[in-house]
Amino acid sequence: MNKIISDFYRVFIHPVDPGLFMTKYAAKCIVACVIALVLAHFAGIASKDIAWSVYGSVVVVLFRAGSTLKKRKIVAATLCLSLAFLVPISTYIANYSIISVVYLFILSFVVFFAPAIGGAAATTGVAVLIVNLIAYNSPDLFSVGLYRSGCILFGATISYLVIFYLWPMHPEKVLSKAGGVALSDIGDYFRAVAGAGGSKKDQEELSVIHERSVESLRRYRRFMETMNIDPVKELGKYEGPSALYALLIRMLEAVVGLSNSTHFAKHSTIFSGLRLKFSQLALQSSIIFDLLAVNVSTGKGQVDLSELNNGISALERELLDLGAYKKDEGLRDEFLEAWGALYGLRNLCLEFDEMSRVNVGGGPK
Amino acid sequence: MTKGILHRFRKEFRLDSAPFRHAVRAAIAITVAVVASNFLDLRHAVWLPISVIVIMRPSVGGTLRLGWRRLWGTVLGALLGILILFFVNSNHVLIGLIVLSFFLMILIRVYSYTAFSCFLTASVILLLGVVFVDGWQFGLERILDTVLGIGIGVAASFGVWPNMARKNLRTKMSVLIHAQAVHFEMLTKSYLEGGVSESELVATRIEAAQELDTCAEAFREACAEPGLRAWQRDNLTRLIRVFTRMHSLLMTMSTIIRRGYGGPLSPIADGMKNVLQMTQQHYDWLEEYSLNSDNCMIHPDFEVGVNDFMRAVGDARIRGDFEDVPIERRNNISAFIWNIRSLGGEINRAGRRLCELRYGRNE
Repeated sequence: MNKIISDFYRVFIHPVDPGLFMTKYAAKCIVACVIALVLAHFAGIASKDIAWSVYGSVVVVLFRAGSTLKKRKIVAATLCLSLAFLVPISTYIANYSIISVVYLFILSFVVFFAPAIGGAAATTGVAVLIVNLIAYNSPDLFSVGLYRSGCILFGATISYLVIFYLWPMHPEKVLSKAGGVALSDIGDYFRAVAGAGGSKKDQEELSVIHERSVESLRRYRRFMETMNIDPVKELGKYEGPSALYALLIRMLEAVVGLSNSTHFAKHSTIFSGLRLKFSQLALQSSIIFDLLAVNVSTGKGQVDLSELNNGISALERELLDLGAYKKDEGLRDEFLEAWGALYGLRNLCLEFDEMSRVNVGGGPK
Repeated sequence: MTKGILHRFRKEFRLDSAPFRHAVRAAIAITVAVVASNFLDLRHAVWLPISVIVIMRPSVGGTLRLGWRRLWGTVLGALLGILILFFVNSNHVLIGLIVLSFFLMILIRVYSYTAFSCFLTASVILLLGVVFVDGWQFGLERILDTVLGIGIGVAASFGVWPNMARKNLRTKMSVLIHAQAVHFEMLTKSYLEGGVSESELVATRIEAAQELDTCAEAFREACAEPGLRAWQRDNLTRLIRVFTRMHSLLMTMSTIIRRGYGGPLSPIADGMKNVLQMTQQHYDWLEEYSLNSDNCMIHPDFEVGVNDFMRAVGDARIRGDFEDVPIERRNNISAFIWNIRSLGGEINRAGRRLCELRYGRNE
């Protein structure tokens, strides 16, 4: 049963939402909106106005912007206040056809121009415009507009409280999970690099998996920023989440380096035996990625690199024994390519070693 | 902060500024959509302008790409909603499906706009299906309103100061090449002189990665625009692949430099410096060539320079200059040379692709 669930996760969920971060957020949004709806009902808001409360709760969860938690709170609050201010005006002004068209033109212009002078304005602007259009399409008295504003604020406040205070995230858990996900994505990329045959289809697949691992790394970085941890500051200190970020970058670099030279000397028969052994060794080392991912997420999982190190040393000796470098110009290039590939694998092994000695919570174990 | 905002406002609030033109274009399209929806007396007058709001992008290609995704998502979502309304009669089940659809909409939002649009439409149609008896008709209306909205948005993109993404490609490319060159310069400094922190290296690389993403997006938008021939679209795709490979080579070089074991060996240090300088010049050439391919400085002969260096390294090896050097350091130097050589090759290839893009492959 576990295998079925894990296969289902790997095939269907992981490509869309690795680590289930968005799934949890979506669940949080549903809960926030449902609570807002139920409370609006119990607060005695008339059924024709409940929709405005729903608009308020939905825009807060749907239109998010800002790189840190603090900025997100500010953006959400600005969005609520802008709506509360503009909805009565839109409701009232819609009674006058010519003026309302001019008003709408100006409002649209401001919303689309604002991103040029302020960062998060693009996302919030669209939300403001959409809700105002709804108000615009049901013209009424100014006082009715004010009441709508109240309903929007009611729904938005409940969503805001649920998202930011009642169901907050736990930084350490999120970071270690995101680190583990990033590492397992880089591991998938490595497996694809080790197993790729060099065809166009393989290359396309590699590019997709590479994109995914880069996105995973960026996600980890975004989470660090959200938690007010500067990912780049103190990068070389090897402590805490910054250490993991640095090592994830190195790991990705190492795999990219390997992918640049993994198909070394592909037109030469002299190197065919070496190529086969190299790919076997690469596939064998992919198991280490899984162990490291478990290590990062849970703090468990021992990594033994001696077999991999010995394998690489044996290949290095074999390559030197071929003496290709001294033969002619063409073989010299192929020798360099092969040397580069072995160097890439050696580098990866060194990164494995460093990664196994660091955990998210603090310094070396 | 206020000073900065005021400065940006003064800079952009002009008739020839791209954000100003985009804002005017979008405002015209939205106003026309609102007037049209009133004139046509649509049951859900808000759907038409909302379609315009969400698809408007600064470039024609961007609007076309997003419009297409919105259209597909809406058609699929409306059909899904109509099908469910035909087969499911229980309101409890429908409410459950609305919640599920809303959940999927938020979940999938970052991953695919088409899927987001599909689940959004499905949940709206189901919601209307719970409230009204003829809810399924709203599905068809939603499709028609969306088609009309996308039509207005696309017409405004073409009609009001049309901003073709392909017109800005040269600038985008030169910015990307410059960002890569700055990163390469930092790597060179770190290898030859040391004293460059890892955070500085990562910061310049993040900058280069962001420019690569921006450039790739601009290329995709340009590919979506009419007026380009198939071979030109192919060339754009190939060119962005070359830029991506250049970026990945720079990534690999970071690792090699980090494990530099003391930089270049003294017998080949001058040659190494020379090759790094040539690569830098090669980058400068590419940057200028991307902006102005007709009147550019002479193409530096990178291949000859690298081959001379490789011969010098070979001679040093035969002389036995490297015999006492530990194998890790020798490996490191070999890997570094190999990467520089590959990077030079990719810069050459980028130049060729740029030329093909301008004059065709047979030139």
